[in-house]
Amino acid sequence: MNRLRVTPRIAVFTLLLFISTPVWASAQFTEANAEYQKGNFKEAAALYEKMLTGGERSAAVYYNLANAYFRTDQKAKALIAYERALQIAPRDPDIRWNVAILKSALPDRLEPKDGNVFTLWIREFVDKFTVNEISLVLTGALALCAVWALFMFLFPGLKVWLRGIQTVTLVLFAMAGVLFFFKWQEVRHPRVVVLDKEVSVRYGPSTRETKAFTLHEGAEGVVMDETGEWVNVMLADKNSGWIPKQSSEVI
Amino acid sequence: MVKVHFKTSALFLIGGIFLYASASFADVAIETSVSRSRLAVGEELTLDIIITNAQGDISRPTINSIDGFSSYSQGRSQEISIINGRTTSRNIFTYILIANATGKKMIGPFEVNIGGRNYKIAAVEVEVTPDAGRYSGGQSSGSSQGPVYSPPSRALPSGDVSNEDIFVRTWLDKDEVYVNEPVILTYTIYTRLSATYKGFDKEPVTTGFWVEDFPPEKTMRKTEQNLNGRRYVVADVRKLALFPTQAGIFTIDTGVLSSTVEMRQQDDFNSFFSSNVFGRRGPAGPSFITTQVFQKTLNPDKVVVTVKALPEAGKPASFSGAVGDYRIESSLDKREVEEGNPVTYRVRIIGKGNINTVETPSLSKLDNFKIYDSSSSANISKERLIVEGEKVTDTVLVPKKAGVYTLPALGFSYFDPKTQSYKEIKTESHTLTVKPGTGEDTEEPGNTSAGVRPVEKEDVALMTQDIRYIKTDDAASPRAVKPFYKNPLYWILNLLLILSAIGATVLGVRRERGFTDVKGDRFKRSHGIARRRLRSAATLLKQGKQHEFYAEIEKVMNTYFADKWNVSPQGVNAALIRERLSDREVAPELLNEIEKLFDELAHGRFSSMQKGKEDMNDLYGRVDRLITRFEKVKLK
Repeated sequence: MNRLRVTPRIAVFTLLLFISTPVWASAQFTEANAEYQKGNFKEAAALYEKMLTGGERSAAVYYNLANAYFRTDQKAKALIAYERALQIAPRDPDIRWNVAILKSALPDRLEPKDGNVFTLWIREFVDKFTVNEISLVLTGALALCAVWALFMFLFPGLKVWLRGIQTVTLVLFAMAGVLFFFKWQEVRHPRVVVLDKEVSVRYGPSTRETKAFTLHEGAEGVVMDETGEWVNVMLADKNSGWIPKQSSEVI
Repeated sequence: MVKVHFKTSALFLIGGIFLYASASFADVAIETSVSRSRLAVGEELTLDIIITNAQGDISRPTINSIDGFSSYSQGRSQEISIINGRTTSRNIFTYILIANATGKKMIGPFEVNIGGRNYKIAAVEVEVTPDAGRYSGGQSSGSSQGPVYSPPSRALPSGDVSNEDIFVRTWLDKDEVYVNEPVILTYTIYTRLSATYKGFDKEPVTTGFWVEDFPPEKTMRKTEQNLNGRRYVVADVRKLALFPTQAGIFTIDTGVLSSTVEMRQQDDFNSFFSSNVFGRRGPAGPSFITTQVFQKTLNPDKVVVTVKALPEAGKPASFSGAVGDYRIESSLDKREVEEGNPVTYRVRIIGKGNINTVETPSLSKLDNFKIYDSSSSANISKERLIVEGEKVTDTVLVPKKAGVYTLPALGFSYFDPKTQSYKEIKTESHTLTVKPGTGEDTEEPGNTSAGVRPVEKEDVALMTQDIRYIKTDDAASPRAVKPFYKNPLYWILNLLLILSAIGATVLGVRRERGFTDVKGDRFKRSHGIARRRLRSAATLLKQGKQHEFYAEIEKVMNTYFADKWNVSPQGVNAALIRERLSDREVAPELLNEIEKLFDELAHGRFSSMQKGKEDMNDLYGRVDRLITRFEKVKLK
């Protein structure tokens, strides 16, 4: 889904965060907010969507769109928009709060069954950072390693100090590597949200296959496989099955 | 209607319940009772007219004169009992009549005016027997009081027992009291004879007083006293606490007591027939001395008490007539309750004094509460001549709205006769938490403007769980970016960083080694370099380049030994080698060979033209063998 302009230079990624919003986007945002304020949630949602297709993909726009969906009782679409906002700004308290509220209103209980406490803890930790943040930490640790190695080459007299710093940096690098691995595991598979009020999950990608269980609007899973019309979804409790693409949307 | 007349306060209260139960709706009931239905001329009869539940003024019954009787005294008493909040009143008109004519007599009928209406009082028939001394089979006052050895229930003769031998004294513990302050009336019997207290023929008239009768002691304490030179056995037979209800000087008619007196007498015909069981039991004695039992009526003196009104100065607003010494407590049976569910608010007043007539303070109107009628109960103990107890009032409160409420402290005041001052005391205030009900909402519409409504914190979270408002600042919001890890340049950068880190490390390590071990390095590589040079010399030999061959061989020799000792190749000569090897065990022919070779090389370069190919081959072989042999020499 994330079709973005490929920015040629890495340095530009960080700079992108601080690029000022174009004037037209700002005006549109204000207009959409005004509609929302008036209670015209549908109109507001349409405006936010327009902004997104226009390339104004900020966490605020996704978040406001999700709120508008929520107010018009489109829980699945709201969840998708919230999740997209969270991918951009994972530590935003408003988004986290609203996601929690929304999820409490969803009918399906989708909790990880059991698992390694350590793994769960890392997942929770990793949840608070974007994949790019972790990537930057990883690269930063690497860069530090290189800098210390260079220093050691240039100033052999500082070797005693630099050895300690180098060890710390290497530990940091290893930790960043673990975090990156977990985050990458998470983002590697796109997630999918059920749009229909109720959908039957089948054992295979066809209506002739046996029904495994039923999911409701807003149920979230990981895409494991897909065919032309169907996606194979794995839920947090490790149940999996096939649902039609038309009754779901990938985050 | 004849009713056996006996009185103690406690029994009266029970009677009150009974009467109330039988005469519902508080109808006026009038009863007439006489203390005995049969009596002798000159004896007394007590007539009681009991009017229950009268409303309004009661006139005196129209008793002017009764045929065959003379009125001895008359009195009026009023008793009010409150049971379960219902008041029962009894007005008792008491007449003491003395019979003065024999025959069957009708007492009454009479009339009484109650609240403007006339009521008829039924007549009572009594029989008056002619002989005052001996009659049998008559009914006596049927009181069951008194010791177990009391004689059989029948009329006894009243013999010649003088008032000096037995008499009753009445006394008050105080002559002056405040309204509602108890004064204790004590009846004390003084006797020189063997006497048995039989109870009251006529109750004291205590109009204007609330009476609490102290229970009779199980074993009557008897003491001996000397009075006017005579020795008396003295016993307190009855004690009453009198609570005056109004101020004034009151003369209390103390009533009439009856007793039996045992006297030893000589046997005669009359006493033989009227003797009791004790008398017949003496068959062994030769003389017929028996014990004769006489009835003796005792008329104690009246007492006078002065009742002072309570002082007006400093009377608190909450004062409602409590006199004594009190404390007050309040409690709630629950601290937390759901709206619509009842809580009981209990007020207890504990103390000494007129506890029965004390009014417990009640809750005034409370917002958001329904207050239901309260019920009171009094629990009075009369131990050790102190009237004390507690009065408990339970009020049922039903909260209408959730919230935290404070039930206000209730004020109570009483007059302490000891310090002659008013005292004000308060209950604690109570906090009641009312949770919202789980059932239907009983909240009344249109009653919502009652200010701030405090709500529990967890309720806020529960009730207002909603999404937060939209963001209004888009400019500062982060934008979606393509993940770096999808960009190959990111990985290339990482790879470069790894490589540069490794490279810098390796470089550092290598240079470090170079700094510290150049000598060893040269020594280690000396053999390899010499061999390489020798190989190139062999090539030159094959090509027949004689001049270059000699130059190369010379270089082999020079650099090989220079590397061995880390010196410059130019400075290598036979003398240096000999000097360096002087402290080593080296075969002399090897040293000679080295010297020889250096010599030949020095010559060979200049006389190379004269040398044949065999010579060059020979030289090559000798250098090769020399290096091989020298490698085995231990130099370190």
